[in-house]
Amino acid sequence: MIRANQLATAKFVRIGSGHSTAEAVGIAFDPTASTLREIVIVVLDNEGNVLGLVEPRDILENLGTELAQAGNESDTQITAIRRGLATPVVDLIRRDVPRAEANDTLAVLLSKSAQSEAAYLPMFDGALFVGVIPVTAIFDAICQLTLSGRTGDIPFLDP
Amino acid sequence: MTQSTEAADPERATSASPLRRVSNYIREDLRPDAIAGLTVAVMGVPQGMAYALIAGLPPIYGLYTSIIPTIIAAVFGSSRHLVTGPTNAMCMIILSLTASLQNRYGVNLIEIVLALTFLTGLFQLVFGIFKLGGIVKYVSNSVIVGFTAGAGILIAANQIKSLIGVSIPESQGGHFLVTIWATLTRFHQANPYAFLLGALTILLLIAFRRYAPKVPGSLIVLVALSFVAGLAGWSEPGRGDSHVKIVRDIQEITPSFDIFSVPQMFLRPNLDLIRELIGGALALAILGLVESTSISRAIASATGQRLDFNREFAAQGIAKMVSSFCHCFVSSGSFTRSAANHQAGARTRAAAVFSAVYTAIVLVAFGPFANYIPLSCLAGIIMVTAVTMIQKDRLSMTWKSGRNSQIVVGGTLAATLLMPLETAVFVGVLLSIVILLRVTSKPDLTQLVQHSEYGFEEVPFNRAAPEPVAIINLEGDLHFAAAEDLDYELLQALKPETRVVVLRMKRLRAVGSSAMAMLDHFHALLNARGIHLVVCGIEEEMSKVLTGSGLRKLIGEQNIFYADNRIFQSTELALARAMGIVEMQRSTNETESRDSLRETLVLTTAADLMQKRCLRFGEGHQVREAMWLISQFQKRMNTAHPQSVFLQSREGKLTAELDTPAILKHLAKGLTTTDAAGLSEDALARSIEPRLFDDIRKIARPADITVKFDSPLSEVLWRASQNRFRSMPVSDAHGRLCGAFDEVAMLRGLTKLLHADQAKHSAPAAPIKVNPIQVPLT
Repeated sequence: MIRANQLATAKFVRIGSGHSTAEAVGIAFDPTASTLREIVIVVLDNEGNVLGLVEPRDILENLGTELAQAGNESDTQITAIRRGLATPVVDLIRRDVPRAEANDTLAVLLSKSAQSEAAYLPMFDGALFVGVIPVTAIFDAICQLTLSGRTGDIPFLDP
Repeated sequence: MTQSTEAADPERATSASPLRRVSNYIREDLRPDAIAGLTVAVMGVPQGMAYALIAGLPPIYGLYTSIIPTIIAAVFGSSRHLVTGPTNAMCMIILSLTASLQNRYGVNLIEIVLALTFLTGLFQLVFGIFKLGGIVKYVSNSVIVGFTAGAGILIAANQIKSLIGVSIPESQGGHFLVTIWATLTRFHQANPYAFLLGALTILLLIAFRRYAPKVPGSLIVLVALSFVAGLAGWSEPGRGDSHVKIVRDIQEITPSFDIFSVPQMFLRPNLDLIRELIGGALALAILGLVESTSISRAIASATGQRLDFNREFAAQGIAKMVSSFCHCFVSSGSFTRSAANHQAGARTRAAAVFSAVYTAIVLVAFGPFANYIPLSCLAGIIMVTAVTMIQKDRLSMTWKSGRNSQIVVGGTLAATLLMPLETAVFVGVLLSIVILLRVTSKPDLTQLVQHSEYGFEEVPFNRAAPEPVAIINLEGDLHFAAAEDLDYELLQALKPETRVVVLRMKRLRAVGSSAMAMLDHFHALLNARGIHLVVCGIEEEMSKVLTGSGLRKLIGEQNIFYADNRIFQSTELALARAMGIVEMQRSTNETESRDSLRETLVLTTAADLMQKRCLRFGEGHQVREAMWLISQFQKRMNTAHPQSVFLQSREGKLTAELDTPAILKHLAKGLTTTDAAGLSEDALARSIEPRLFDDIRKIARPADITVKFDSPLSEVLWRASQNRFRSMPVSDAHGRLCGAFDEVAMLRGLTKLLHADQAKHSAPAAPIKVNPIQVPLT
């Protein structure tokens, strides 16, 4: 039976709560698609506790919000982008993300992933943060479970 | 070399019954041990008597010291081959320590030596019990080489008088140069017969070593020349100045073994004397342990035996303490006899016991004959062994090992020749420590420069091109001596362009209060210049020191990056932070030109971000087909980022969009976490199955937010915030799908903005290269 800890990864970016969005972008950016697998930023407080996750989506939404207020002038747009980049990353933390437990089953994970739009679920073992679960990993596991051995049914696929 | 049975079969050695072990020993190890013990005894008897003379004691005490401590150290020790007994260097220190005390305190010399022996043993026992074996680490190879060579010179110089048969009054003894001078001025009083015997001893020993090294030359020479002296009547009393002094003239060796006596230090303790002996006893204890561990380690490296040094130390201590009740002086592990023991095939510690037993037999059976050994012959033996102490090869190698080794070996040698011997050892150790502090008083300083292809490049300090961020790599020891003036040295890396200094302290050790004071001052110096400080590579120990010293608060948690398993991870994060600071500083200056940013905003368009490869699908398919398509696409593109499927009409127009979270939400419809907790995977598959056949139009959302090819980045970013999907479709003027880009591509565009801003503001210096920070891969 698949458990959450089989789908989780510990390879993500950690960052302190005092950092700006610009720093988060610098850390999360990578030019090659192959290295863009877990672009999720785990924000930590001064004690090393996990405050939450920030995804590229959150950064872009914040910039878009700033831009929406800026109008069409390029100067005001630049100011808006700079303001957006200076936003502390802690302010962008996604609040509606359910937390996964290390021994959650695939069914539980499916249920939790459907509760928000997040691309990653933080995973805890008790009180200890141990990694993140990409929803694509849950998606893949569901595909394996439901589609395995049934490709012949799918009409558009070549044999 | 045959391995010991203990070594060959350790399990048998520990698990077999005592009777079985004795039986095994008798069958396999007794004979080789007995032979090796005999070899050691043949070598050790003359050495023991001669070394006693070095210590200024009658030869009989050398024989006692070859028996009692040898047995005790073998019984309690761990090395199978170490032979404990009198050694020349220790004897020289005994002489140096005790020579002047006899007259000063009015105590018999042998009683002083016995007290010294007990105290030395006590120190060694304490070292063993409290596992302080590490103390010998502080006696470096250079100290040992210098001290041994110096002791060899002293021993040889001290024996010239005995070699030529000249008597020097005690009042004219003392420093070795004085002794040599006194000997030379009495050269005309030399006894030609004693000189002849001494010279013959030296020549014959050299000949034996060269042409018959396995023959016990010392013993043969002593016996032969004693006969010669006896037959010629040179050692007969009443010959006046031509009388050749023999062992009997100092103290007669009697064939008795009545040696137990309680040292006077217990019966009538003289506290002043004991206080004076303590420093010397400590030096003897340390040097003795160095000698013992050196030889036992050297032999163990050949046999593969694992040694317990703390047990060895305790054994050496017990041996000295007990033997001080048996007229024995300070003993130690003997290089020559231990090596002979090993080469003769000794298998267990019993071999050393055998050698002691043989020596005891010699003492009882042949003791009276030993009385006729000429002292000049013993002096010849001592001189030959003293010369071998000056190990030319080791001296040469140490001398060539650099200036620091030269200072230590030269300093120790000079101290040995000019100062009391017990002090010389400490002088050598002190010199080693001072040199060590001097070498480590300057941590290695380099600078790191980020390279576009291979991460970070290390360049010599103060050679990096001027940039807003200076990354300084600090390595080595940062103790109190090293911290001095380091802050001002670090300032040399600052250039007019410098806005942030990143201090990488990954391999910094021994950080104390001086280092924290230096860091505090450096932080203040930077502050005064309007420069920020970011530190990275912070290990746990450093983190604690930063907290304790209050520097964590001063520097700010956001400017501190902790060491990670991945190389340069924290440096990359620190650099990103530094670039952020530079960015923020710039953003405060609104009057600066924005052309570059504006150009990027306008010139970077959706076409730059778009990929033609995206998932296009007809409208009439089932959810399971979309799932299959997405899962295959994710695998092929090697991405974990949620993907979208774009639905097209028959005319190729974009109509709707469907992504991974939307599908998951559809599959999980009605499934609560509580219900899910009780579901098996089969049950889950069954509950999902009906939904797999649903029409994708039921869950797809209209694709009403798109961008055009030429939409500028500012519009892209704005529209992305409006779009609920994770991919942004790009359509042409007719609404047909041309491609798409996801959030990652948009981030890439954003970084381009940062590049443009930094490039503009770093003029006229070279543009800062903000290389992508690698996200760890699965």
